[in-house]
Amino acid sequence: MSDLQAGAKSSKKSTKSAPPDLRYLVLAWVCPGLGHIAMGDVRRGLILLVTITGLFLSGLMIGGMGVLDFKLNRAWFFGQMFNGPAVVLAVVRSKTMMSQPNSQPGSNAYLGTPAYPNAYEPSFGRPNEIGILYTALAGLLNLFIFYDVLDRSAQRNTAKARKVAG
Amino acid sequence: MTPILALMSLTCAWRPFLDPLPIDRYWLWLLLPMVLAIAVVYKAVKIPNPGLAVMTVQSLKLAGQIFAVLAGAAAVLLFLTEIVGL
Repeated sequence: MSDLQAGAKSSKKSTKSAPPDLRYLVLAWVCPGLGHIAMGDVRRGLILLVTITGLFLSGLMIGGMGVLDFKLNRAWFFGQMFNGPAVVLAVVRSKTMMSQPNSQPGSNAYLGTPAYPNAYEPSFGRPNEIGILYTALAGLLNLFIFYDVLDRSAQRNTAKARKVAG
Repeated sequence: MTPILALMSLTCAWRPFLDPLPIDRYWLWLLLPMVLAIAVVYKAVKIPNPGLAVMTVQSLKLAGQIFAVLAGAAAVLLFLTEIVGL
């Protein structure tokens, strides 16, 4: 192999991107923006934390705990689950706050009508729609943050590897 | 009952995060904070150094664009369903 070929090969190797650090992804799932804060990007992380958590809490305040329902609103929960607290609260709601947790989803016993009172009030109509929309959107925006945190982490690791390689 | 007393009785009975809010009459206004949140998150990711002044201007601009597109789509759908009668 000539020196030129060896040089080209080594420069190709050095420009190869390093894998991202998955710890930041887990932190971003546990609390939106925490991955950025842990990476040292505090300002960006705080903006994301306040905005996404604010949107999630607003949805929860508008629709009540009933909006986090993985049995009744399965498709919406797919969006909500990208927010770690949503999954925890959904499990807490189904395990501890329902009088009849094993009843058929959508039935009176499941929804918590006065005959079967749950610890929370069920929401219907617009409050339910807006609450679900806000919480699902907060989850999907956090999915966008996952990609960003992985990309920034990979860039950081690549820069570090290049520095070490000289 | 005075309006203040009525409001007090409502807020005392309402349990945050457990009871839904009665928003049926003004639910459409709740699109505004949602659009603003989308714009802020997008700009926070895209702007290299997100300062307060730059973020505010850029987010408001994007939120305005999203809202204009939403309003346009609503107007087209209103025209198609109410006037054309599809």
